[in-house]
Amino acid sequence: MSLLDLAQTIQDSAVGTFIRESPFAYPLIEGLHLLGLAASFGLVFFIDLRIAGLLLRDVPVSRLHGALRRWVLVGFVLIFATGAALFLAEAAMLVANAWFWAKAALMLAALANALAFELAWKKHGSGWIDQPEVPPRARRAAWASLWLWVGVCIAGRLIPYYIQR
Amino acid sequence: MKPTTLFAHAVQDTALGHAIRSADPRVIEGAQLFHVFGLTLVLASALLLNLRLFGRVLGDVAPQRLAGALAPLWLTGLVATVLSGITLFLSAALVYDANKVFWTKLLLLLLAAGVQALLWRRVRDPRPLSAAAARSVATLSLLLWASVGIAGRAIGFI
Repeated sequence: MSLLDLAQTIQDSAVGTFIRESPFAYPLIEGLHLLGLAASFGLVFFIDLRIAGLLLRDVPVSRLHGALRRWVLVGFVLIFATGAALFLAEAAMLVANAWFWAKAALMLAALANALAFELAWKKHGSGWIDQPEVPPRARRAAWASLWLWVGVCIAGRLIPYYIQR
Repeated sequence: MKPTTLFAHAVQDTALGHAIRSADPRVIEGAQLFHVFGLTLVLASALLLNLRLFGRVLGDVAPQRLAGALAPLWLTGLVATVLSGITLFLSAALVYDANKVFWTKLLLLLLAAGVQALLWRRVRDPRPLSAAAARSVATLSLLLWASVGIAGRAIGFI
């Protein structure tokens, strides 16, 4: 079975069909996907700006990071859950769409970057990030995070404009 | 004819309306991108201030300090959203006018932006704001913003 066949089967499943054809489910899930974006990337954006030294410089990075962590996770749970539901409804269209794959690749890169940052922080100890000058490595990770998530949003928003018929 | 439809007709026939409708489709895609980024900034900055007013995050950072840092980002996001929104509206004014959700969303947006603008001002005022008042306005603002986001996204599907 090819990937496209598998995607077609998912899309034709009862739940996929329901989401796609319900006049309320699809717009509502899209709306919640957008709210999840504000809580996930929106709050990550503020953490990135803080690490880059452009926002709330008098608040230690670890303080802001710790305070927002739970809300960022809530945002990611919302955006991944609604994203999965949207995938079920449109799987065959999505696997044939280049922007969808670009979005997935950028998302993986952004998550890998976040993981590498957390591991570096853990390795260097708790004081590493809260030095008067944020270490260059952390600043690079913050800029990478910012631009990768911007890329995820661009690729995601362009998906519907480049549907193969 | 409804007043909004007359308005939609009038703006469609302006030079700017013609220019946007005959422009490359990428102009509209670009406007959609600015609309999403602007809205993300608006929602995230309002969310963070409102969480602080609920006492859920950064209890040791004064709300005035947080509002001072976030208000410029909020305003930048709002300007980007409104300018790109006007571009999108001009690209198909009659289609948007006939959309069941469009004017509801616009009304919700005006309410949400008004409440939030008052909140930024009041929080930065040196007179302390009572916790109960801060919480009620923050709740109202969050509900309004969530409905703006959901109604706005629904426009494309209804």
